[in-house]
Amino acid sequence: MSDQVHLNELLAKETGIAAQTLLDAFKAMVRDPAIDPQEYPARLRQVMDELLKGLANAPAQPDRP
Amino acid sequence: MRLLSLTVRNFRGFGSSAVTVGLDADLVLMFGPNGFSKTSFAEAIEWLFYGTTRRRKRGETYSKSEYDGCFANVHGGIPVEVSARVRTTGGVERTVMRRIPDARADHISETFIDGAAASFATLGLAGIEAPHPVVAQHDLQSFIHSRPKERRDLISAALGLEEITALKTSLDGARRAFTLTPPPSVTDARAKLQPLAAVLATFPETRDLGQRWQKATVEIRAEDVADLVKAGQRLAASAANDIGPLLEDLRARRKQLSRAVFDATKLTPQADIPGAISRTTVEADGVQKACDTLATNIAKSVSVAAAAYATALLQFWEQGLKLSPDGENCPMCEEPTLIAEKRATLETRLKAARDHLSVSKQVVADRDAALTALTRATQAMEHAGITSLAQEDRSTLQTLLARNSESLAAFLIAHDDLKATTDQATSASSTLRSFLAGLPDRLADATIAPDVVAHSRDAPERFLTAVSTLKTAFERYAAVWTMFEPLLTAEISSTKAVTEIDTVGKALKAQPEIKALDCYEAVAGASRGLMQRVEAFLQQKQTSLLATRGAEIKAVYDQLNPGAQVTFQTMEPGHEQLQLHASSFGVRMSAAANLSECQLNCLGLSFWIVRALTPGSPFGFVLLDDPVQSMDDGHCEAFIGTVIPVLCDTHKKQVIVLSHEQKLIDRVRNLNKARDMVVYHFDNYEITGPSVTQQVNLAVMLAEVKGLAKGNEANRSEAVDKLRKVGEQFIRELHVKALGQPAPAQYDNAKPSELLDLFRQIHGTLPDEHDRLKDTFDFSALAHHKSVGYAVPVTTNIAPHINRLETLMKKYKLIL
Repeated sequence: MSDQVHLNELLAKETGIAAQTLLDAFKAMVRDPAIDPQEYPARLRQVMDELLKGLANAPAQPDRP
Repeated sequence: MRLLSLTVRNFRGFGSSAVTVGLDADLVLMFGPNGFSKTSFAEAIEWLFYGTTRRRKRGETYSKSEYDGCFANVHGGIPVEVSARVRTTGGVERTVMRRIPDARADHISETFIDGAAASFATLGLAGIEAPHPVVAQHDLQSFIHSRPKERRDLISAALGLEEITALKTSLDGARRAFTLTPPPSVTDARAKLQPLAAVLATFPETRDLGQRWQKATVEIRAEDVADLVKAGQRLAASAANDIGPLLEDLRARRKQLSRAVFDATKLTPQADIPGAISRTTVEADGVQKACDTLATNIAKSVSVAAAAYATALLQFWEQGLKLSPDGENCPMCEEPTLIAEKRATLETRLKAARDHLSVSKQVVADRDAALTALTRATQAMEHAGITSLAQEDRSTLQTLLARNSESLAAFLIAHDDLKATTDQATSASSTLRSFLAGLPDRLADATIAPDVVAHSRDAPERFLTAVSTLKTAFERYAAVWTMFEPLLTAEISSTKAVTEIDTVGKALKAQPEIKALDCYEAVAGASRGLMQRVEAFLQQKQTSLLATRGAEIKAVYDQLNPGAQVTFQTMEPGHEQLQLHASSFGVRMSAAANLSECQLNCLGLSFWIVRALTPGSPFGFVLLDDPVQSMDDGHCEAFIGTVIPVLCDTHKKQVIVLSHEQKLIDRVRNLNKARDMVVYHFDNYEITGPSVTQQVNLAVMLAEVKGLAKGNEANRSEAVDKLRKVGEQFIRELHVKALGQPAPAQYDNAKPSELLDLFRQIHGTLPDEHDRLKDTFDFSALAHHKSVGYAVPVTTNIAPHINRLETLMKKYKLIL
């Protein structure tokens, strides 16, 4: 069974926007051979920063998990 | 997918001579001494399909710089490429190739299918990390001798869970960074809110909030704002629910409380100090101008008055001149005394009297103007002035500013100086006003009129001097007040009640910071929750997959260790690790710590073989690179006699075995003669790469030499060289036939002369045969060394040696 099956299965289970955003970002980077796996944590951190910016700029209350 | 052939160029140990190796057989055996690029061959296949190798990936975790550029052959040839002819599961033959476009960036490569750039995913080669078909020698022990966490990652990859494992690791790293070095907006918000925590923790409404805000992370909760509003309502005695109106109420309450401490308005002028100074100066200038004009006209009035008689007498004269408009008779005495000269004198004096009257009216008007200017200047002074400090106020200030007594003393000096100067200016104003008010009466008194003239110049001078002094005092006060006011404000604010209001006010105003931290916690919480779910998912998958795959690993291990009492038992996945359990006569123990190197070799081999057999794998082959490194003969035999046949027959895999042990290759070869098999030797290694030659059976080899011997000079040269190889192979096969086992390991890379010694030791061989075979080896050695004057033998010279070998083979029944 290939790796992609498991990641897709996990992604399908997640409903929260933040979790989905993180998983989508990871899926994109892990399928991109040009990205060094050692960069994954730093890239995911950037995604978290972007999520924070998005929530802070949103007019409504943050969407708590 | 079956491998039909592989061509390697400028990759790892392979140089510029593009070596193509035919692989279209069920069993491919490759022998070569250490350092002859066997592992490069295995890595070429791995790199072709994966774009990297596990050796490279593992090495880069230790030292990326050491492994950079290691795919390209060190002699710098280009292109760096590996291509393979494959047969897909659908039976279609394709050529797949991977090439490095720039050797300086060898982690980037391009893939081609049948010569056109294309992704291998189109051949079904996607998500292929789990079914890794290359069992590399460096992998065998890495699985055992690694940290439990790395071992867990390896087993996860083997179970097809590498992406999930990488996700967990990456998410963990990202979360750590997000926590340890939060964004600036978060650190700023914490810095702003944390100092408020201690005071907020003393309020009943915000006790819990205060305790949470005192933490380094300043924990925010949804109810925090509502609790702050409740505290604010209590402190301000307000019913406002909205933050804006509540802050207004808090400000009003703070003002009220501050005054109770000390009313600072007593120390500040009603107007702003620079404005007050400016206005006082302007109005004082008006007073000076008005007084100057007044003084000038007073002087004029007094001089005219001195020349004038009393009003009644002037009226009498004026009437007389009217009664006697001409002639010299005086209407009073009726004598001719009113001569022309007398008449002119009287008219001059009458004119002077009329002028005096006019000047007196001007003086009154000037006086009124001066009074008006003085009133304005006095009002300006009073507006700018400060009230005097009562003794009670001074005592309060001394208490409040006990820690800043010097500043207070300096301020009080400036304050008292300003107050005294203001009083002096007010006094001077009163004096000037009295003088101006009594001016008409003084001017009417001829006896004091000259003094009035002199005093009218001096009277405003005192007032103007006082105003000038007041201006200086104001400026000095302004400078001192600028420094003193913050100290006073701080002391007033430090009182408990004011501090409480200030703290709640600041917290309520810090809505952006509260929101920033709330959002931060939302993202951190979401990532934390995801992390927990990923971990649980991984655990669940590991458990279920290991239940089946673990049993398969154990089965292969048992094939290699039949009936052992000290043996590998099971794998147990944990939160961050994978434990390998063994047992000794039924007692559980750690596998890594207690099993022998040979047993660990078996365990590693079992793990990687099962991984290569992952269900659904698109690969129809398994490559085993030096698989029996630490195994003794018994385990080797189990591998040869059990594992290889199972791979071939049960799993229908194309099996490629690379080894530096001739004995192993010979044994496998002899046990599998009935299979579709091909054998290669890595014969030589030069700068252009290894020389990989196919080993065929003696009959085929002999037939090839016969054909070459009849050819041109180059063919004959090759025939002579191959005579030697045929002779070597004859001795090896005779040894297997006579003794039932391959030649001992020390003969794996033996020279012909050493193999002759082995030949002599084989029971039943004759001295004459030893001599004749030595003669043939000597004959072929000449061709190999190509000494000066050497000429390639003609066909008739080669033929006796071919016949000699054929006779020996037939005698010992190695060929028919």
